[in-house]
Amino acid sequence: MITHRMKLFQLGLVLTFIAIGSILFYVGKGHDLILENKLITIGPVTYKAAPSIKLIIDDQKAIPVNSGFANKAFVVGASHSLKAQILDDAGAVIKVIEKKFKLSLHNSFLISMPALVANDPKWIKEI
Amino acid sequence: MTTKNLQLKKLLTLDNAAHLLMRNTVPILFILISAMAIPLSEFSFSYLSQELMTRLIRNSFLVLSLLIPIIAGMGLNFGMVLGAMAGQVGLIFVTDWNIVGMPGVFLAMIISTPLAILLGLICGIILNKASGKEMVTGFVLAFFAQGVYQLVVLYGMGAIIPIERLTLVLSRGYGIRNTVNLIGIRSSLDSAISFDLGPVPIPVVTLFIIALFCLFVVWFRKTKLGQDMKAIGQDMHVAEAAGIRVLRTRIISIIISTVLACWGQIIYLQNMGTLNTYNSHEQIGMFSIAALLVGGATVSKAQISHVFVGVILFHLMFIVSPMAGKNLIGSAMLGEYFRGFVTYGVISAALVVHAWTRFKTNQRQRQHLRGN
Repeated sequence: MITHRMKLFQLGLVLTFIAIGSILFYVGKGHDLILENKLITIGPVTYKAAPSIKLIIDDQKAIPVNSGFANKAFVVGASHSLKAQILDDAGAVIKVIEKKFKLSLHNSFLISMPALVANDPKWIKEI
Repeated sequence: MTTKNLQLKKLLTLDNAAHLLMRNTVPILFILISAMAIPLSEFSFSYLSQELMTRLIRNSFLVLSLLIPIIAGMGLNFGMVLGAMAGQVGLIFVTDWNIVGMPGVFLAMIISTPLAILLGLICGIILNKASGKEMVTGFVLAFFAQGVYQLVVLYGMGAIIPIERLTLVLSRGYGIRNTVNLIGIRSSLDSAISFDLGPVPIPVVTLFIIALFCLFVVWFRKTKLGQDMKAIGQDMHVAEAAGIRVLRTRIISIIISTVLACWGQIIYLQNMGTLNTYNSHEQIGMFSIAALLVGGATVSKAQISHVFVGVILFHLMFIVSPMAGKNLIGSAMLGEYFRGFVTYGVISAALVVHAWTRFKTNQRQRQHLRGN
């Protein structure tokens, strides 16, 4: 015979599993990031492609994104940090931009380097 | 008197030895064949150890899931394939949602558990209706479940059940592809914490989970439910007369086995890194049962030690037999045939021995009642 207490325990167990499942989903969700260094128009403003950039996301290896090209990165979880090193023609670092960002549960995102360099709030968007 | 005592002792020891030999015929046979096949295969010790460790962590959990129905007297649970199917459905969803690493493995377990419970419940109810013929019923039930699984995965997924990833779906727009790449969760359990013991990598987390499962089995045997199952396994009618809810307990044993088989299949596939959508679960039941029988278990009696001895001996045979066949006769195919022969042969031999023992026991009991 299933008692009231037993029913409550079972309900609690189901809710716990749902909660753990949600946490695992949030923590383990992988995202593809498209890192694009091309001309972009956001609203009335057009940003030209930035010079060559080296992008370090979290503690991953630096990803080079040359002017007019795009590259790809993969991250897991919601909160991340980004370090963009803007290089001159000789390859010397002329500017460093550091940002922290949070991702939604969407699969893929586009990071626009020109918008990032110009500090436009729409430098990252879902695709 | 002293001489007579000594002779009696000697006889008893010989009798014991013969009994021990009879009980462990299959493992002894496998040890002998492996002892001959290992030198013929020319594999190095380090290669064999590495392969054995990989297969031990890959298969142990699945084989352990067979223990509980044996305690409850339901024989070898061929219905474990249903649990494996549930695990695969969980893995398909996790891959579609792009959940990677250990969270992906555990989320797949959480998603597939309710499905495994439901399948275990259905399986248990059906097996209760086929009392005394559980194994063959479970075997046929696995075939039926295969049809339902194909219907859901081949026609339902992508059409009714939303699947976002185009790489998972067949080019026609619905149905899951033949092979699913589990790169996101590949070896995530095995490589989480590991160290090398000589040439052999030791995956601590997976071994810890297997050890936890062994402790669970030991603890479970001592619980009220475990004791009830033991009583049912010995005699269903006596257990019923003693007030044990036999049918309910038998269903619980199958549910537990199905859920554990589901988790075992997820551990197995995260180690493999690839899911053969329509084949991965098919052989699991056969191979796990054969491994358990090779370890010295019977249809009515199995221990944790049988699992590990069985997995080691059975997979040792799997590793060495193709190369031994090739080196001996020049054809690796012979070794492959031998593997198939051994797998199915061991299962059928165990079933025949079990039926024969039961027949003999019944015959002896009848004679006893007649007063002969």
